[in-house]
Amino acid sequence: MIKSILIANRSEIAIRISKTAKRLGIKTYMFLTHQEPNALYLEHADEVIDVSADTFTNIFMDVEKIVNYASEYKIDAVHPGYGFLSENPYLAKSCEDKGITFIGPSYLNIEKMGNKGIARQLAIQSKVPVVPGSDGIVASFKEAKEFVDSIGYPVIVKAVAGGGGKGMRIVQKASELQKMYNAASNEAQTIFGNGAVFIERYIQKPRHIEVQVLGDQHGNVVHLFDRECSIQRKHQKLMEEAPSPGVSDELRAELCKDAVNLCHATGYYSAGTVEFLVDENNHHYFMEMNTRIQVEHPVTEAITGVDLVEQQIKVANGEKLSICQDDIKIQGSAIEFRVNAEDVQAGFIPSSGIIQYLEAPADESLRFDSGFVSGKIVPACYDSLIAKAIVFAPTRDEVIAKSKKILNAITVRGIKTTIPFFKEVLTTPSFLKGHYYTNFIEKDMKQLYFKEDGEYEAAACIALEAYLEERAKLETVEEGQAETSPWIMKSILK
Amino acid sequence: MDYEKHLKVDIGSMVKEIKIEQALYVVDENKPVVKLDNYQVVDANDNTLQLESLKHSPSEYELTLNGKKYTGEVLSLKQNVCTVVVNGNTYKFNIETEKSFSRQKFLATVNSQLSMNVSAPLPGTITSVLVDKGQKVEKGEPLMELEAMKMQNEILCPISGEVRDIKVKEGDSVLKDQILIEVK
Repeated sequence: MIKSILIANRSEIAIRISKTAKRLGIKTYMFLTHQEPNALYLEHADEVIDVSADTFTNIFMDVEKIVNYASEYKIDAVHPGYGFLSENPYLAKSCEDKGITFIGPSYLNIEKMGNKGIARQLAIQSKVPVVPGSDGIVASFKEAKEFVDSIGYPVIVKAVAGGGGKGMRIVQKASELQKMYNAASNEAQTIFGNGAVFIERYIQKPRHIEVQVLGDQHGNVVHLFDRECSIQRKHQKLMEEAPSPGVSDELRAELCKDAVNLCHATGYYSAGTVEFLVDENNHHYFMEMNTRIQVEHPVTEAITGVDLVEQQIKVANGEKLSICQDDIKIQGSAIEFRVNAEDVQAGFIPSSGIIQYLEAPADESLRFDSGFVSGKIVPACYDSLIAKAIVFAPTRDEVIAKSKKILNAITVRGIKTTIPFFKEVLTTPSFLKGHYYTNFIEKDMKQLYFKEDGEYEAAACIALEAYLEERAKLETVEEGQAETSPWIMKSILK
Repeated sequence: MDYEKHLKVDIGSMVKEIKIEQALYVVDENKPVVKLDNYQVVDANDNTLQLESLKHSPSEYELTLNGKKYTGEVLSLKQNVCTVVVNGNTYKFNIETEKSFSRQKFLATVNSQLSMNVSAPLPGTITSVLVDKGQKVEKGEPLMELEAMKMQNEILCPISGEVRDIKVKEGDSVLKDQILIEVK
């Protein structure tokens, strides 16, 4: 039985995991780092492990140190949250070797699914459709050219070890192939230390739809329906909804069936996500599997009422799933907004600094998972996610109406956030219809952020007023100075 | 704001009248947004704006413009440059007099006829140069790839024209704002 957990992560996900752990009576440990010594998440830990003296390493990337601390403090289990660490099979393996429970799938599954080439082979074996492409690594440009000539353009060159949109290049015509092939391979070599790439047909107008799965160590697997993640910028998700408004019941059943079959075939356990591309003709293709809890898991929790972190802990304990497929029903509709510290007007550049003020409205439709409160610092060395606003209601229309109100009521001062972007999404016709693709931001949005009529002129008038006030103040000061001129002072002194 | 007859500005508890000899322009990238002239504020199309304002704190304003309410925050005011946030959007304005504004407009036209230097948006390494000297390029076309923070960033062409000069080669390390290419 797990009685204590080392949460090897920070910010909102560390807090989110600790909440479930607390409810289950499990003691939590977290790391105090030099990058963020006054972070909010530390207030949610039962015990804090101070690693701030070590200013050279990022503890959240250092498998050996994490496992050593878990042994030293006699902690039963490690939860990696999401991010690079959670998909590092070496962590799961090292935990197993030291007799520590890893809250997640087996390292074999992480390793297999983390390799896109092997994952694709497994999908083919499980009769799950995949995008036409090279089966395995394309070792040279010559090989790439021969292969692409056989399937035709456009194609996408992807790093075998890639993820998060890195090490990927789209090739529209033959003349670009060599440059893009090299670019993808070089980028993969720098980031992942592995320059191997493969090639697939590029689907021009896809939707990104994923299925949440949950399995135990006794061979039981259930799905918790789908999530729509097509609103992305540079392959990074910005908002997600569950269930997908653009998926028919038949397609939903097929996606969920394929996801479950893949898990059965690979003996997968713990929470996981099977990602699919769906093309304009509603054909779906397996893309990859994420062997972790995901940032967007709360939308699934909202519509099904299942606490996924609790299930992860129970499965890690070796328990059988207490829920069966028939118990899991879609109870409504939910949208998650990723409140990132980014300046949308300046092209989504990171905006770190002190949060002078942060407040979300008290609303029963809103779950606000925040890693920060007023007065906290958003460090520049981590990702830009500061909070997630998850809005739930019985129907999608109600969710949208409530979201508009809630986004207007969230106040953030001191840093810039992605909220003006979401306000604009909520006025975009294709989003409102629930019919959008991964090119939503480039093709459907007239502008990237919400602008009220007349706000530009209003801002200019405020600038004018501030300027005039300052000028008036200066004139007052000048008059005042004249009276206390040093020459006058001197004459008084005499 | 009371622009009638005299321009009165509240500073704390006292009201101060200031004289404006020339029209004032609130300018965003050489385009006037509003103008204060003859004790009236007009927009870019010369429509008079109905204004009322309330100050909540030293930096927070509530403004009623033509009957519609806006709240804004002044982030900074340095000399004649003012940054304002409304609805989470940031706007940066220059406040110019009639004379300084016409001088700036003149400079802008002169500058636009010169060739344009494309500089590095962030420090990094040039991994590939995608164009040749003398080549015709379109606005938005990738000129080179810059690797920075483990990411390949495409440097896009800001104008349509011809590549005049390429100042770096593949493998070069570049600093932020270093000039990479000249386009005209």
